[in-house]
Amino acid sequence: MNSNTLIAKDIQAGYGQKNILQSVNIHIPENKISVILGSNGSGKSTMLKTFCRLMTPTAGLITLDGTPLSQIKSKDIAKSIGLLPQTSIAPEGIKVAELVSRGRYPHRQFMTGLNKDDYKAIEEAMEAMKITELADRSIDELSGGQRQRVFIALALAQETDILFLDEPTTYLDIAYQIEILDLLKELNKKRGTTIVMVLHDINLSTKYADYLFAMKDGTLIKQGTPSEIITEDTIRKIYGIDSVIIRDPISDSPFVIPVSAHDNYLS
Amino acid sequence: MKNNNLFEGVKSRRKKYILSLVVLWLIVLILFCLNMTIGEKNYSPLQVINTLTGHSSEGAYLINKLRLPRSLAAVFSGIAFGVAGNVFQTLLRNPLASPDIIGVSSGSTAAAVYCILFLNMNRSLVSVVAVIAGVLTSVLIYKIAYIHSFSANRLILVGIGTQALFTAFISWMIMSASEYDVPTAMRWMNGNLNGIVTDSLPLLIVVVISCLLAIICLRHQMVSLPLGDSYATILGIHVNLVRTVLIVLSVILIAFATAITGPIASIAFLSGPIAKRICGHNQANILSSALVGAILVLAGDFVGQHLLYTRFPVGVITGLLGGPYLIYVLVKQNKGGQL
Repeated sequence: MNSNTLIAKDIQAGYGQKNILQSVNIHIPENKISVILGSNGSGKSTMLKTFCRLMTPTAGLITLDGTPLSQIKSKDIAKSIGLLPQTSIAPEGIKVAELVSRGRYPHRQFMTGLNKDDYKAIEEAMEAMKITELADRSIDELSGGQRQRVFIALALAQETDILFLDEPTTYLDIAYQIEILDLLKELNKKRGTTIVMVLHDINLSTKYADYLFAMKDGTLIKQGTPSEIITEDTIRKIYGIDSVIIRDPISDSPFVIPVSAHDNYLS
Repeated sequence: MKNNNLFEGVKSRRKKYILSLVVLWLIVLILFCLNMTIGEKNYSPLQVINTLTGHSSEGAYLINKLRLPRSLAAVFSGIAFGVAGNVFQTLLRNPLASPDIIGVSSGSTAAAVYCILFLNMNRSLVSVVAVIAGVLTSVLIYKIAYIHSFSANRLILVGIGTQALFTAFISWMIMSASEYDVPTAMRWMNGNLNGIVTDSLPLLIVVVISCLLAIICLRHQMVSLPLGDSYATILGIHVNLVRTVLIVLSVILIAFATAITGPIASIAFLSGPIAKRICGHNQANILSSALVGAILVLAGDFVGQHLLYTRFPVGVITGLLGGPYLIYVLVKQNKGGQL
C-alpha cells in the first residue's frame, strides 16, 4: 500500500520568537480530500508549511508512516509529499513541458537524463491537468488559470501520495476554480492521492472536501466531515460572523450564507 | 503514438542545444587558431602545430611562450567568468546579479592591486590572496544583505555599493603608487592578457576544469532553484547547501581567473544572457555560457590586438560591449518594475 500516513503530534511552529501554531495534533485522513479553514492569520499556511518542511517545528513531531520526517532523506520525503505553494515563480522563457519535468527531480538518478518512467509521469500529469496542448508554449505567455494548472502538473509529476495545496484557486475566476477543484477531485478518485488544501471559500470547501479542519489562533478548534462541523456556531467561532446554513440543493452539502450588518437579520 | 508528440518539442529543443554547443565549440576553436596564427608575424596553422609539437623551432618563442599562454588564458578565464556569471544570475534570478557588477570581482581586484603595489608580492601569492579576498567579499556582501531573510534584490544593491567602494579604493591605490608599478596594476583595472606566464596556467586550467565539472554535477539542482526556495525544498533539494556550494565554486572561478588576467570586463555579465538567447532557457546553460565566455575573451583580445589603430587590452574591448547591455537591462527591468 502507498506510504501516506502523516501525523503531527503537539507541533508548535512560528517565525522568530512568535509562535503561530500552538500544540496542534492532526492525523491527515488517508486517500481523502481535506480542507483547512480559518481566518487570516489563524495558522493555516504555517501548518501546511510545517508539514511540507518549509518550516521546522519548534516543538512536537511530524511522522510519515511512523518515522519522524527529520529521520527520512530529503529526496525520499519528496517522493511522498508534494506541495503547490501560495505563489509560484516561473523562470523566464521556460517551456511548459520542461517546467513540468522539474517535478521529476526526486526520482532522477545522479547523472542521467529523463527516462521512460519520467516521461510517463510527466505525460500523465499534463493529461490530468489538460495542458498537453500547451507543452511547447512559453510559461510567460499563459493565462493565470493555465499557469496554475502547469504548476499543479509539476507537483503531480512528482508522483507523491500526499499533495498539499496552499490556496490553489486564489486570483482565479469561478470557472477556473471549479475546473481546478474538479481536476483535483478526479485525481483523488483515480489515484487515491491524499489531498490537503487551504481554501478561503467555505462553500467550495464543503462541496469538495471529505473532511474539514477548522483553525483559530494557531489551534485546531474543530474537525470532521462538512455536515458534522459546519454549523452557525462553528462559523462564528472561526470567523466571528453570523451566518445562516442551508443545504446546497445539488450536493446536499452545508452552504453558508454570511449575515451582513445591513441585512436587518436577528439570529 | 500520441506520447511521442508530447515530447517531440522537448527532444528537438534538446537536440538544438547540443547542436548549439557544437557550433559554439567550433567558434572557440577557430578563434583559438586565429589567435595562434595571426600576429606581428603570421604562421600557417600547420607551422603552429609543428612548432607546438616540437617538430620545428620556427617561431618557437613567439608561439610557445607568448601566443599559447595568451590564448589558453583567454579560453580558461573566459570559461571561468562565463560560468560563474551564469551561476550568480541563475541563483539570484536577475541578470544584474553578475559577480562583476555586485562587487565580488572587485574584492579580488582590490586585494591584488594592494599586494602588487604595496607589498610587492609575487604573482602566485597574489592569486591566492585574490581568491581569499573574493570569498571574503562575497561573505561580507551576503552578511550585509541578509536581514532576517535572504533577498536577491537587497544583495544586488549592497553588491553595487560594494563595487563602487572597491573601485574607488583601487583608483586611489593606483594614484598613490610609484609610477613604475602602475602598468602592472593597470591590468587589474579592466583585464589584460599581456605577459601571461606559462607557470600560472596549469593551476588555472585545473581549477577551472574541476569547478566546471562540479557545477555540472549540480545542474539538476541548479535548474530547480529558480522556481523558488519552497519548490526546491519540496523537491528534496538541500537549498542552502546547494546554493552555498554553487556560489563558493563560482567565487573560486572568478577569483582564480581574476588573479591571472585581471577582471576582464563584462564577460561574467554577458555570457549567461547571450547563451540563453542562443540556446533557450530550458537547461542550466552551464556549458553554453562557458563557451560564450571563451568566445568573448578570444574575440575581444583578437579585436584589441589586431583590428584597431593601436593595441587595446581585452577588457577595454569587452567593456564596450557590457555598457550598452547594462543600460538595456536597467531600462527593461525598470519597465517591469523589478528594481
